[in-house]
Amino acid sequence: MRLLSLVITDFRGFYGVQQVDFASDDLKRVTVLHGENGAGKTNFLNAIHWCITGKFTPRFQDQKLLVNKEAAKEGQRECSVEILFKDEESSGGKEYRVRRCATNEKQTSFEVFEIERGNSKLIDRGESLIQLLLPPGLISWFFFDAEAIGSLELSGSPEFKRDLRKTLGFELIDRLLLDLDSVQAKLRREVANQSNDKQLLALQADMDNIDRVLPGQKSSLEALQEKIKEVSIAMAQTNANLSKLPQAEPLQRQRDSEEAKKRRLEDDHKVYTAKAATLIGRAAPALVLNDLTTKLEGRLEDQEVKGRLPAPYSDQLVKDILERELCICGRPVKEGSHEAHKINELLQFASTGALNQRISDVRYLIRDIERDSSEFPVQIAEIRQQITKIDREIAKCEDEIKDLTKQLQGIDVAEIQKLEKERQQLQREFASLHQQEGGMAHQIEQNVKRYKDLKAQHEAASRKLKVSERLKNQLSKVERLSNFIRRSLQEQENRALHILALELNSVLEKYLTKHYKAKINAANYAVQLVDADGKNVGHSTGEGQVLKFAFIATVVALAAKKTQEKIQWMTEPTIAPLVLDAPFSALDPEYQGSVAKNLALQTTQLVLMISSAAWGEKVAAALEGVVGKRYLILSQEAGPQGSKPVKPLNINGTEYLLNSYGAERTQSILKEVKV
Amino acid sequence: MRNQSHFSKERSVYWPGEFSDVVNTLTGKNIQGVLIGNPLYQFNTGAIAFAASVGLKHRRKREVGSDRKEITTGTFASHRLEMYIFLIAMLGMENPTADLLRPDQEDTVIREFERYAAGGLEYLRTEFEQNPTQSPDVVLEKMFMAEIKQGSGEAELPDL
Repeated sequence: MRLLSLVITDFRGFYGVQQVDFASDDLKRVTVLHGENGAGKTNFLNAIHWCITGKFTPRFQDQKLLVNKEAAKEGQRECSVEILFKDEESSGGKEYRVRRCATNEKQTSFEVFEIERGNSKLIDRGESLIQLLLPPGLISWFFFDAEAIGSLELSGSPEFKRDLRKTLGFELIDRLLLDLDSVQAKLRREVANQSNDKQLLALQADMDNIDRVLPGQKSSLEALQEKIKEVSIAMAQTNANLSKLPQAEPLQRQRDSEEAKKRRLEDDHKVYTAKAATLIGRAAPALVLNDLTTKLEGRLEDQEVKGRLPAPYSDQLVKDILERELCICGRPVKEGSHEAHKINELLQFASTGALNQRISDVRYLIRDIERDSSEFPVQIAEIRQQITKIDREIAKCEDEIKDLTKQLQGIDVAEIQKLEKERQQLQREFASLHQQEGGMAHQIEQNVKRYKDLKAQHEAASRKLKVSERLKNQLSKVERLSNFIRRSLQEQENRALHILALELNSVLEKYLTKHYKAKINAANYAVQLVDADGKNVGHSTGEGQVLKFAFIATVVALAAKKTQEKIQWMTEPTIAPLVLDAPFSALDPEYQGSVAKNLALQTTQLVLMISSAAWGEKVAAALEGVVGKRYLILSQEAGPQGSKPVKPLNINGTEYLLNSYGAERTQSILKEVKV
Repeated sequence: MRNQSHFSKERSVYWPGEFSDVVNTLTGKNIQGVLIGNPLYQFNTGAIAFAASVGLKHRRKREVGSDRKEITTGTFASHRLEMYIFLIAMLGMENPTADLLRPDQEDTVIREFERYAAGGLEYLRTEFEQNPTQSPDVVLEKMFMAEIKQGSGEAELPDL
């Protein structure tokens, strides 16, 4: 999918009909929209997002106020967004027009037209066509609100894993496995019915109950996780709004900083508790075995002194005597003779290469155990001390945050008090959602465990009963198929994560000055930076942001199969534009140029909405050569300028003003700047 | 310690499937195999070697049974834990001799290790069940501290 143009009518800040043509040429594939904060960059991103999906990005506020206020005053009740796009040449290169209209109350129409020789033909199942071209699981990667990049959780949250699995194409296989599970359940039910055995029927009834409840519990968990994500974003937005108010700004800044410190400390706490667990795991056998091995070591030494360990003769010596039929003393040792028999018996005590190696390695292990058991208690105590220190600092931070919150709540400004209330409510909601999430996850785990037990009991019981061979065979076939697919899925998943990590690292190699690599945890999909020895490293906020940008670009490139190695199970590549709202303001200036360059390289079409502050020299140098279209999002205010500022933007030596005052109406205007 | 196998051929080490929950606890996973806590061991091999040590320490042995899970000796070797199989078998035998390390004793060594591992898993399950609110590392740490305080009262090893 390549965006060709967008027509926006009375949508949010955009009054009347306004059009943007997108750069879609392979060499000039970047469209840049320059606009200041509040000019309408997020509205523009959401115009595209909404037109294609019918939904908005999580940070988009006041979703029930879609119709431009000025237009509404003039009697307009409806707004619309229309997008013209072209399918990839490899998929036929057809052109389509998508149009979505809505009032403030509801969506009024959604239409998809195929354009053939200039004529539009309405497609019956437009929604399905769009989903085929841009699967819902991928939308959040392609239309990305980069201001919210801070809330992109790479530390292994369940929703992140779920989204990424969809992206990597595993959703279909998961569904297939679910279908196979229900076939198995149906066959087991038949086994129970055919045997008419009371125990089997009771087991089956219990399993059916779990089968009925579990899907609902899983969807509830997903919904809770989705809600947690939304609340986190809303909380970030409330904090940002508080920072914009001069009376609250210094205290909010301090609170932000304390909360960031608390998060860092909590991360440190996690790192140290993980370290403590690993250390205890390593120490455990040594601590358990030490007193036993010390005695064994002493006895092995005694044996050595006595010349019995290893034996003073080798198996080779015995074999040579028997083969030559001649003893080392010169006497003959005839095969089958009493002497030969006696010498042969020596073999069971003779030293051999393998035996000597094992004895020596057992002794090394004993020494390791002795060393470890004396060192580990000290190391564990040190880590526990460190954890206690971190806990104390966390408590200090919490007190500080409480104090700052009290001060903020005491400011006699209605807007601050409103935001503080909002914040408190969100915090309560967040805590309650987390609790519910934990409870639901526990219930699911218990049910899965119980189901597994019941299944094992069912299998054991049904083996003893008379059931038709045909049914047994069918059940066995489905089980084998299911196991095979599960194994293959696991292999594919590991391979996909390996490829993802490879691609991610090739990007990071160009960004980071340190020798860090990204590692992806196969169990929870957590993405972590590790040093040259493979140890997890704490990274700066800047490095964390770079990791996130690199990750987005890599996922988009993978989805488009634009990478060196392909993920076989991703049936169709998804080629779509990457649309990013204000992407570089979250990044350290030192990384902005290389991140911009990489985004342009990894995508087939890039639409960037960017502020003048984020359009620095490095970003301009990285992108200017591939910019095909450029627009300004001009912010016009109806009121007088007073002492308010005017924001200039310099592009290739020409200065443009991004906002003005005393206009006919307050609105956002899209103005093309010739490239 | 080398990570090439000491065994003359690849052999299987079995542990009872009924203790999957204990192994999951030690490897920080839930019933579906998803990492949910801080793992004491990255792999099942670590958990089994530790369980065998606990079994030996508390003289708790049991048969593996028919519902069993398998790990190859090669996997133990690649995780540098293979020598624990020999060591635990040696420490556990009533009359241990270095001859137990001979190639023709490999089966005996593995079966003995398995029995202690099974007994240790059983012992650890009780420990974890008695401390349901504590993380496994804390449970183990407490266990060691109690043992260190008590001192070792285990049976003397006979002469080799």
